[in-house]
Amino acid sequence: MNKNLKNSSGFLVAISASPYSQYLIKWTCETAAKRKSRWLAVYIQTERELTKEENELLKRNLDLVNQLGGELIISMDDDVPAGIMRVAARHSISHIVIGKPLGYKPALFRKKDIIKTLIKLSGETDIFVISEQSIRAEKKPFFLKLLSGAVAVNIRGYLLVSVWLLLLVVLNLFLFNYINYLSVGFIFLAAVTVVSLFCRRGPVLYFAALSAVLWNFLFLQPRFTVYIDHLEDLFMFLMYFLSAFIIGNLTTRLRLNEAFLRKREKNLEELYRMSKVLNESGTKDEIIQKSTGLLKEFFSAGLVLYLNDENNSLSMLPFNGSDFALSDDDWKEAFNVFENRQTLFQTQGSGYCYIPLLTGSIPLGVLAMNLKDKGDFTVEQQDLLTTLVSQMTAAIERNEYNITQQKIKLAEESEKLYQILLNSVSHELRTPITTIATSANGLIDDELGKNVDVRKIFADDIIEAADRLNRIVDNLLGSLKMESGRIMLNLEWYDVSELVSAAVKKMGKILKKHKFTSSLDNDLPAVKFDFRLMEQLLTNLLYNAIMYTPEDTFIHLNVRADNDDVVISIDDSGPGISAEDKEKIFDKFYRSRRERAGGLGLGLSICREIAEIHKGTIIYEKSRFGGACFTVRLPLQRDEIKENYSE
Amino acid sequence: MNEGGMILVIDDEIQIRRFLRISLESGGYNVVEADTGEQGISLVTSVNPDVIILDLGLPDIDGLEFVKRLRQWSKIPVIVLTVKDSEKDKVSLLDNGADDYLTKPFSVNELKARIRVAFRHKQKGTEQQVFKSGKVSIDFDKRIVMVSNKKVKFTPKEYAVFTLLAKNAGKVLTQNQILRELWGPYFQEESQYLRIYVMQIRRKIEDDPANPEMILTEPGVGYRFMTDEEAL
Repeated sequence: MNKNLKNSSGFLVAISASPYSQYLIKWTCETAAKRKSRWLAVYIQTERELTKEENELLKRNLDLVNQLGGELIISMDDDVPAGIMRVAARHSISHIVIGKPLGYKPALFRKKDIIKTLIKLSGETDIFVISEQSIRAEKKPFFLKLLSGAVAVNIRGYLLVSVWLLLLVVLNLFLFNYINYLSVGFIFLAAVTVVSLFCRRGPVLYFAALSAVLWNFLFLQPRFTVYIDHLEDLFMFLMYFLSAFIIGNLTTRLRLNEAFLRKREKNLEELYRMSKVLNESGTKDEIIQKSTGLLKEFFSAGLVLYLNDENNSLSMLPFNGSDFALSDDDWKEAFNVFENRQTLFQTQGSGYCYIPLLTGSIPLGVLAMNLKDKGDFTVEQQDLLTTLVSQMTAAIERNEYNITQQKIKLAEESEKLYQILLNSVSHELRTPITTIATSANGLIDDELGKNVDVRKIFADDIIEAADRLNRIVDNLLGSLKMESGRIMLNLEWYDVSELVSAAVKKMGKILKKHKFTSSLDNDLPAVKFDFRLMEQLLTNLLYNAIMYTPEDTFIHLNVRADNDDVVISIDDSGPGISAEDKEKIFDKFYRSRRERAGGLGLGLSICREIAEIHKGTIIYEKSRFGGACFTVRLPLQRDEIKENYSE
Repeated sequence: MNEGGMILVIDDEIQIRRFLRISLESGGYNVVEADTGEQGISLVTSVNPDVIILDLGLPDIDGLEFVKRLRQWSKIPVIVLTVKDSEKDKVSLLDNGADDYLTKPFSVNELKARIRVAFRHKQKGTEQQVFKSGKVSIDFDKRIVMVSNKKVKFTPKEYAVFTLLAKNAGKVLTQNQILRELWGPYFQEESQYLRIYVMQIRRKIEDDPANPEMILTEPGVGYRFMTDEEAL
């Protein structure tokens, strides 16, 4: 036995709407557990509709599968053995368990012998045929129930066709005065076809057989006997019988098949609609709202959803969009479902079904649907409901996963930005400090300090480095102040030429390495601005022009009045700014990748802030001299400038 | 004086280059400057300097990358200019072939001392039989160590550590370099061994082992053997 066990093992138990399936399920569960193997249960749904009792039995079987922790697969196939094998192949099953009725004998010719066919189809798969003997005691009551149920349902159909047949016979007896027995036969045959469009197979065959007999008895010579005189009439009768039988059989089958397909298509469509809705939903709330909306529509039943809270326990409050709230007892039931992770269909009592939103770890919540008035809730509908709920769960989970991913990415990016910032701040501050320290060291060196020229060089370096340090500190503090939004504008009336000369003076000798020129309109009006801030703006722009262009190229500063604005522009003849950088140069901490001169990437962002709090603008353009051109516009409408700036 | 010694300075900050040029030229060295790593590499081949002073914060080539590339074909001593708080960078640079480092800001004397050591190690090609520096003399043949004319008894491992440091007098040695040299490549992480030996050696040779004057600790990097001759 053991050597037959394949390693890709898995047990598949085939169950039906029969009480014996309970034993099969338990047997499979135990056997699979012993072999530390997984197990699944399959129910193949055929075109035959189940009676209410059968449905109940089937639900009980399926519940048992759920309780024992097996995976449940419901598949539609009119050919049961083929359906079982299809499911087995899909789930790489090595062992199939099937029940054997008491007193089973392999049929020689019967097609419907499931066990025989299954063995024939099985190939490498092992088939376990479990005898039902061991539960014989339970057999009778269920069997009787089953029988009475089956008959009770069909009896209406038989009565109906009997009445129709009676009416038809009366009609034909009347018509027989005008037409011959052959035409009567055709009328009967047409009636069989019509009946088969509306009735199940049983009543149709009953109708076909009875109509044949009545035709013979009432219309064939000799009339009112079962005898048939003429050989041709006998053939006719046999042909009639055969045709009626085949037509009845085929039509009902076709019709059932069609209904079967339609149902399947409806399920598929519902699944498709659900996945479409889920794909289109962005947020968790949207996913839940839309999918619960669809569930209500599909099953026309009210539902309530409880999600798990921050403590990973089931919330006591229903989610928005729920139709009702559960009573305390029912909530406890939902909580049990949450804990046990198993679907519960409560057929008696409250009539709720509870479906956990299962994930890899803790369930996301429990959905409860009110099925109180849905006595005919079939197994397929149950299956569809759980499938739809698991689709919804997957979408919520995916959504949450995406959100976490985004958060992680954001954190990583801000960490990276922080690192870059830290590096550039420390580099920017240290470089001038190093220069100051080393140059000062050179000054006090016995040998080097004696040389007057060398001392001058070192002193100049120290001054320049101190200026640089000053600018960095100004920009850092400026940036902090702007960020805090509590900068106090010190607005006064100034001549713009004062501002220009102050800024140029502040630049000191580093401006002398370039050919710097400036031109100012003669009739510039006075402008109200914060002198210190505007000076910072101008020195930042000039400093950039110096740092990013080669020595001995020209820098031109122009101030002019333009309608209601005063316009300050600084042109250089350097390499300009690439299209890629153009968009970002005013962003805080942005530094061009080509940049060699260092810097914090704060200068231009502060320039923009300063321009904006003066209700002005700053833009970059390509200079008509080939390099970069920064243009600052300050409005002359003084009243609009607020005394206190705050975001 | 080291007449004619050629030093290549690679730094993108003009002020630092200027300071180095003035200081080194006053010390009698010839100085060639480069402001990028690529220019530095090409100057190495064209002027064949005796010592290279390399700034770590070059805009084009990472300092480590520069050293790795250089070491594929050249043994020219490299002194790296670094900033504080970059012990990890220093160690990986030294382990990858840089000879020494200077932390900015540095003094003229520190600079000159490093350059002197670099020149001496470059010139001293073959193994010496006797090492003599300040208070310390070592006879490698007889395995005798004298400190202030007194014989010091070392265990074999202590002797190995001590002589390795002495042979590289003035130069920093990373813990990894020492461990790899004396214990082999598989003990590189076992820095506590080394710490114990250095402690024992210090007890035997230092006047005040708590304030060592000969075997100095470079925090986070390694050890440097200093003699009077190398002192600042």
